[in-house]
Amino acid sequence: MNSSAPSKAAGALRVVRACLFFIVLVFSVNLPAFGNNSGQDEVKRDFQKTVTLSGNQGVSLDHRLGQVRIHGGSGHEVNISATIRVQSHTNSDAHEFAQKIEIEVRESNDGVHIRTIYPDNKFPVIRIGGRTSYSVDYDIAMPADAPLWMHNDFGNAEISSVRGWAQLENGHGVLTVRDAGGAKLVNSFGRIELSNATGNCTITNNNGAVSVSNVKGTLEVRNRFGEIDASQISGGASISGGNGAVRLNEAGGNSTISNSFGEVNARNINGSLTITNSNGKIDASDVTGNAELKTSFGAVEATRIGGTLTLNNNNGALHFSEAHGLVSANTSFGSVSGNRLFKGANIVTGNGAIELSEVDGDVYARTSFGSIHAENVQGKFTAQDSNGAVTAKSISGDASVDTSFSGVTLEGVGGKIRVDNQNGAIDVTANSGSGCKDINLKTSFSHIAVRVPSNAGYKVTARTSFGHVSSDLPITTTGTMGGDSLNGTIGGGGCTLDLANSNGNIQILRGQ
Amino acid sequence: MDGTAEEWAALETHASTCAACGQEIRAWKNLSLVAAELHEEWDSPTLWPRIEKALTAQSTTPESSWWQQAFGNWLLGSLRWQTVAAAIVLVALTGSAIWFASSSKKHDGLQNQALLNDRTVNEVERAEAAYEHAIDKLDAQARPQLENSSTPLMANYREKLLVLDSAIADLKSQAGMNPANGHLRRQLLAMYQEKQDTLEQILEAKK
Repeated sequence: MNSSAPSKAAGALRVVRACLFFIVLVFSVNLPAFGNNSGQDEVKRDFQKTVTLSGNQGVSLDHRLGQVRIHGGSGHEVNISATIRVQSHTNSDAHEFAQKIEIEVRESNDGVHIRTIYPDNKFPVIRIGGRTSYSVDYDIAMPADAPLWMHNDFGNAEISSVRGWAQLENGHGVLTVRDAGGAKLVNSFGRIELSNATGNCTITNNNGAVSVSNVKGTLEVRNRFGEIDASQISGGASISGGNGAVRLNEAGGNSTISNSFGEVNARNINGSLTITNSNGKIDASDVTGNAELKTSFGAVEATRIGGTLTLNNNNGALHFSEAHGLVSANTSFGSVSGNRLFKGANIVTGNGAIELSEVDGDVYARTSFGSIHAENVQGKFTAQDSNGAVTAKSISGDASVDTSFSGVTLEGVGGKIRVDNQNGAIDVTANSGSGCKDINLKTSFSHIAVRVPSNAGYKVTARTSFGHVSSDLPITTTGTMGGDSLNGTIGGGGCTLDLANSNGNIQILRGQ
Repeated sequence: MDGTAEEWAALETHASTCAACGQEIRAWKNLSLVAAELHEEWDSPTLWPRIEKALTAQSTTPESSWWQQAFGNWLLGSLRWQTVAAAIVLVALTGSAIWFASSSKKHDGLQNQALLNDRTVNEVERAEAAYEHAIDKLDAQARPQLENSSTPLMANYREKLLVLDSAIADLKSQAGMNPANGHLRRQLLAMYQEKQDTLEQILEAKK
């Protein structure tokens, strides 16, 4: 095939064509990306002024539409630096507008007052033909220990190393404060961040997250819509949230938290803790004082509470462990569980199970539609249930149980035993190590089984209507004796063993 | 297989003391045998005449227009589809890269600049319009839930929406007088975003 020269030329032509086509295609697709047809001119004007403060004089700034940066330093001078930016459709218009923006610096007895004055610009500029836009940014250096008042709107504000008392109000922007003294911070629509403050601090926000860390005084926070995150507060903390999660970690004094819609998490509180939430979960741990935790729709969890623990919930579970004071827990629709309770527990729930273990103290447990289970209770055990089973194991004190439609099983009870059941079985084992204790068991439509120590003495009264009475232990009968009733004594007959049934058997068994 | 007889002998000797090497050599040998069985040669006497005939037919077609000369033949005739596809992919990639670089630059500008240029303002205004459109749609869906429910949660959402509407109105008013102010635009977009999120949460709560 003789094609070398023409085919090379044709190939070169194709390459050229391909390149041309490629370039046309790229530029036709991306032409706007290369364009920078702004049609606006921007001018920048700098403002500088230095003022010297004396005594307790402070600084105030009233500003809007721009960023603010204020930082504390040594000396008595206030160095004010402002950058004025104006954009308009012609350079002369922009320049003229920039000249009209005034930075007012007024000195008075109480210090220096800085204010931004914009020309009247009341009406929206029509887009056709041009528009003027502007912004003023401040950078102010001031004595670190002088008081500061700042109001800014429509811009972020960053204040650092100002340790005099500060009141800082911002709107529609982020307010960041670092290395402060005592401070009052207010924001309307924007985040507030505070870190390292040596005094008491108050923070109010309307719609934005609040983040606080390392405050050497007390802290008070109010926020309507936004999360609150506070940590390392040397004093007490008072936090009022609204619609967002609240987290408090490390507070050195009594603390209170209220919230409406969001989780509340508090830990490492050196003092008492009160949490009131409306519709969110609560998680509290490591509280040295009393804890009072209340919510409506959410689970509550409490761990390592030094004082009394009070829990209230309407529709949620309660779980607690390692409470050194008395536990009082109340919920309407939720389960309750607790362990390692060193001063006993009073538990009431409407419709939920109750489960308790390792309790040093008395236990009172009441529920309507749920089971009750207790284990290792060093005290009395009182259970009131309407429609649920009751089981208990290793109860050192008396056991008293009322229920209606389920079984009752008690093992290793050291004190007196009383069970009043309506339609459920009763299975009871008295503790062998503590001598005899009175036992009263009553049910209607199921069996009764009771295990008593073989060395203990009981005065026995057992009766049933449609069933049998039997005993593994020798009974000296007194009075009448039939298959459905028995009166007599076991051993010396020291304690009462009263067993009543309507339609079921009664068994007296030998315990361990 | 490549290699001289001596080299192979040395390899075999080494393989006798190296189990892994021996296994490798056996695998190579098996592969060589299979490859040899698969190898086949054949003549194709009709292939070249067919190509030549097609080329002749192409060269005798009527004179084409300048456009066809420039692009048509190039596109439809001589150029293979793979080349066309590659060119399209290249164009798309280049375009995307340029667009991305350009938009990243704009995004940075939106984040940092005190005053935005005209094009950015236009883009921001388009984004705001898109937000308003999306919010209107969401609002229409969430409105019955908001108005008919008396739960504390819905009361809370109603309050939050009022607060956000107030903030949006403030910002829009300011942005109308100061349209290229970057902070106002960023805040306005943030408020739109928050309102959209809130409406989505209301609809989520409905489920």
